[in-house]
Amino acid sequence: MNEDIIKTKVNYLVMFKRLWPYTRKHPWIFISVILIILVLTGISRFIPFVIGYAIDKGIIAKDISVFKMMALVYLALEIARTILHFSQTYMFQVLGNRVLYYLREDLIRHTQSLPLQYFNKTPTGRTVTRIANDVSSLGDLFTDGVINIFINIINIVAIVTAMALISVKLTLITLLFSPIFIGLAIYLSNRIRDILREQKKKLSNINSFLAENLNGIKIVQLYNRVPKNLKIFQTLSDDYRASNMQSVRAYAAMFPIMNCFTGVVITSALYFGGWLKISESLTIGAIVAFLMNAQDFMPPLRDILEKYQQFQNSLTSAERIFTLLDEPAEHEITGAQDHPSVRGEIKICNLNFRYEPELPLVLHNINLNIKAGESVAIVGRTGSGKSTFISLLQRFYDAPEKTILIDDRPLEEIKRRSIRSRIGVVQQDNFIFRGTIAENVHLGDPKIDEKTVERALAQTGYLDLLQRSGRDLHSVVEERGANLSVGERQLIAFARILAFNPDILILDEATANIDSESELILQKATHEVIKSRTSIIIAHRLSTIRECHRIVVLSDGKIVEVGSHQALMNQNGHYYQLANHLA
Amino acid sequence: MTENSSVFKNPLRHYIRYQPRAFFVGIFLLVITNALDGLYPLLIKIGIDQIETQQPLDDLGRTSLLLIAALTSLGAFRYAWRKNFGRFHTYAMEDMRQRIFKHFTTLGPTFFHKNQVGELMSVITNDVSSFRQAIGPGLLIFLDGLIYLAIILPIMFTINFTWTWQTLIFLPLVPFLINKVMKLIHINYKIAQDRYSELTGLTQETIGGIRVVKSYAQENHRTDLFCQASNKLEVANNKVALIDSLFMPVMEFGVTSGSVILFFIAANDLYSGAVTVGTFVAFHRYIQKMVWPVTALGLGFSYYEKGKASLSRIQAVVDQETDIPNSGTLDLRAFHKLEFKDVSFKFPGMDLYALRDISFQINAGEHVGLMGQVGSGKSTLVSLILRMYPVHEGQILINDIPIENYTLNSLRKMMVLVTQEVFLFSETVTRNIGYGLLQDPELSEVTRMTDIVNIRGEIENLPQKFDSQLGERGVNLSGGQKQRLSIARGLILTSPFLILDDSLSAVDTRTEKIIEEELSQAKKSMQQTRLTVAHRLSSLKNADRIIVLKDGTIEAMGTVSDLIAFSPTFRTIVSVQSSQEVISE
Repeated sequence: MNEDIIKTKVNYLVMFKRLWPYTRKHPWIFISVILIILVLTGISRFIPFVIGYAIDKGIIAKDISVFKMMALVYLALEIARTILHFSQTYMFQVLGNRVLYYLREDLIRHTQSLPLQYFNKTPTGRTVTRIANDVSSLGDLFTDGVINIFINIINIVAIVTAMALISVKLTLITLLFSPIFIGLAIYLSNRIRDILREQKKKLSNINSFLAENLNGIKIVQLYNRVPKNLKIFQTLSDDYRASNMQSVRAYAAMFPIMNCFTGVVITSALYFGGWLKISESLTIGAIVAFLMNAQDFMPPLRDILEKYQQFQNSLTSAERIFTLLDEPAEHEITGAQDHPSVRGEIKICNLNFRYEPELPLVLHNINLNIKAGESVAIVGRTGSGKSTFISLLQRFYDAPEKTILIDDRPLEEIKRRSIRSRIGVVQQDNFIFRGTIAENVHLGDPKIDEKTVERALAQTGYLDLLQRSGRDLHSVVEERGANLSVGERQLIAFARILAFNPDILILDEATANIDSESELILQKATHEVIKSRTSIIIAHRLSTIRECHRIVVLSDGKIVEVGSHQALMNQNGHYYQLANHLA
Repeated sequence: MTENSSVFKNPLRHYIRYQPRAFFVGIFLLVITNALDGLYPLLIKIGIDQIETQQPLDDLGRTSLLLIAALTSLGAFRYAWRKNFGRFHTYAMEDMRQRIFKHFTTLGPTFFHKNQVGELMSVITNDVSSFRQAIGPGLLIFLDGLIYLAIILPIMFTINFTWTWQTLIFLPLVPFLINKVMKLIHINYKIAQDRYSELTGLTQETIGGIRVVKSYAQENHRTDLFCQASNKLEVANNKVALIDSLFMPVMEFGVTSGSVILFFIAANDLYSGAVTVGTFVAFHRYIQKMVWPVTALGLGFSYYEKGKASLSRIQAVVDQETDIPNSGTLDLRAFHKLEFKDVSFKFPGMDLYALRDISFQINAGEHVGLMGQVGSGKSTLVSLILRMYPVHEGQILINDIPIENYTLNSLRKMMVLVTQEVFLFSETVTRNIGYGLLQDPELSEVTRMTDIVNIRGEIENLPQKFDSQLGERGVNLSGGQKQRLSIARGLILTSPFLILDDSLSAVDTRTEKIIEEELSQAKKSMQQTRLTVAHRLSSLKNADRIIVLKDGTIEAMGTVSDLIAFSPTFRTIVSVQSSQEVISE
């Protein structure tokens, strides 16, 4: 149901086109790198020529000064090569890292602007993988793949040119069989790619099995699953071993191909070189230079074939990244405005809502006026439309035009960010960030100082609890608030509300059972946050409901009853039934 | 475990014995390969000299045939030794992985509290694979380099003694340099990895908490935080890039400098005709060929060091023996009585007692409740019944025999615990419910269970119904749904003794009622004994007795009216809960 769908097809051209704007921000690095590559290739090809020249004009022609001269040139060339080789690799990687930085920035910005539906449909892990892992493997492509393939192709062209400059005939003879070997090598490298893909899948099977078994070790042991799981693990591991052996063999098979090729190239260069020397007066130095070039022909070719696999992997990563970047962001109508402060009056007129055109209505003809400062409890069974209702208020989904008005302004005319900063929400399970308690209250907003945070925590009664347990507002909070109880997380969410002081409060009360002590503190905190502001509460506890001015009973997306607790109890209707379902 | 400790003390020896043929054949073939590789430039030398001295083309043809034969068989031998050696280290890796996993399954919660799952995962994946790198590619590269040197150096010395030592004078430095640089790369790479984890963690939080981020319009702030972390990663990566880019050019220069030196020292010999051009070219080639063996020595050594570090991490994990050895021999076949006799318990490494002087008895067919504030020791008590921790003070007896005397398997078959925290596996719904069964359960049984926990309708709405896959790659269930499934997983086992550790807290009142009816039925029909840990009084309506814990001791024990009379904790619970009725969701 939530498959990973690739919507943006990417080929090399598309990828470069989309990465180009980032690269263009640093034109000088880019141009220098290209220049360096060209110079470097030139130098590398010049070296065999120098050696050949030294042999012919130095040794054979018995001119020692030429030989010594060439020795100096050789030294200079080697030094230059070392320096250029270094700068080329380094600068390319620095450029790559910069591009990745820009890409990540765009990704995080864009992701945060996506509609909530996206996050409901997509597991968190998948989006994180896009932003972290996929960008990283795209980086490998940049620093390892592109540069290498590019350099190697230039290298091969240069080598063949150098060879041809010495003798076109000899070059043709030597490379006569190369298509066969290159074909074999490509075939093998495709096979390696398939094997590696398979292997990766098998390793990830092992890893997820392991992670699950270690995380759930208690259940595995308590439910006597150890023998069975050991057997499963053995199968997985043996499977991976088999696939590993396949790749060992496939990689090993690359050597005979390459060695045979080298054999053919060198031998034909030597034999036909000797043959041509007689018929075409090829010098011995030229033959040596030719041999050196011929030997250099193999490594870049092998490198290309290896890197090509990596390229393919990165291409899939690129596809996933750009699919995420092409995901449409939350839609805002033109002319939507900021709405700095709100009185807190909410009018809902004839609101009908469905999530998708083909789905049934979730809310039917809702009409409700909430006065500024009024608190309203919404009660109803699961699926009665309570959560949808609050999502609409926060503009996580868009209600039909002019059905929801805040201070008589249609909701869709107020910018999302603006309305959200005026509406505070406490959810059933509030997300807690890693950091400190205070950071979780102010969320990094510079407008909220420490005094405000402390006051907010004190008002909820949490500060007291913290102090009694030897903590303070700078105590560390673990990932997802793992070291806090459900009740404590709830209290932090309340403190957030008090610190941000929104004009409208939406409270989705927790259904989970909390121990008695926290329960009492929560009751008081609830009282604190709903006083003096418009509050809409999805209530589960009678004590909370009694605090509210009015109760709205929702059933199957319709408002069935509105009134005070006492009035509704007297009506003996839906509310009466619900209230009698007490624990 | 004695077998394991000998394996992990000297794994190389163990694994050579495990795959002796692959190992020794591999090494033998490696020697032949290197010999061929060392000798073929000599053929080139002969060929060039033949050309220069204008020997008949037939002689050159013979040399050429020999050359192509040498290079082709070189390829064949290279294939063969890699295949054999590959088998050696691939088999070793998987054997080691299986051994470590098996070891993990014998360990109790003490171990898993001390060691985080992430770290254990890294041991069984990264460390095992870096161990393989050491005894596989590492060892092999090292041997390769060594054998290669042993073959080439004598050849070079025979060709020209003076040239050899003069050109190779800097060579011994190279392996050390490589090892140093590799260490530097490794350290910086680790820093980059840490930065990367930080960035991932931050992303995880931003996406996971997107509702809060959006609700409070904190997108810009989160982006700033992200960019800071992203920049730190970039800086760290650039540092790795710097060292990484220095590595190859500098090392190559270290060796190639020999070729340059050759030019400066060879002129006179060549001039006087003491040395042929062929020899000069061959020698030049040999110097170039030195790049590999010296690199190999350095690389091999750095693999070895990394592998050694990994091995010591593996050893540290494997050496931690279980504190709940499965040394009992009795089979627990029927349940009559559970008794705690003056049990006091401290968590390993803690000074404070989690439980103190606990004594009580539960007889077959009884339903006992367990209440108390958070941290009063309820879950700890339950975990002791299942022998998840060792008990050193006092005794826990089942049918008057200490629980240590029973096999763990039979003990845990008799007593089934539905845990507080919910953990489901990436299996189908059916298999998750039947997780504790030897075979997949009948569909009728599964549907009956899902009826009891009131989740059947929701399951049947899933696209694959009971065959729907759960977990990250499958269906995402809500917390409440997961909890109901985990209750079903416990109930389907129909064990004589059922322990519910606060597992009903998130189910609604109606579902709780149905489950309660089912369990009362089981109590009547099969004399099922039950221990229920609960916060809600309503969950314990049918309990015969309730035990109230306070700060690790039993405050009171008895019926509701007994407790109201004797337990202050219980009275508080009653008064708070009566003011807090909950409307069913």
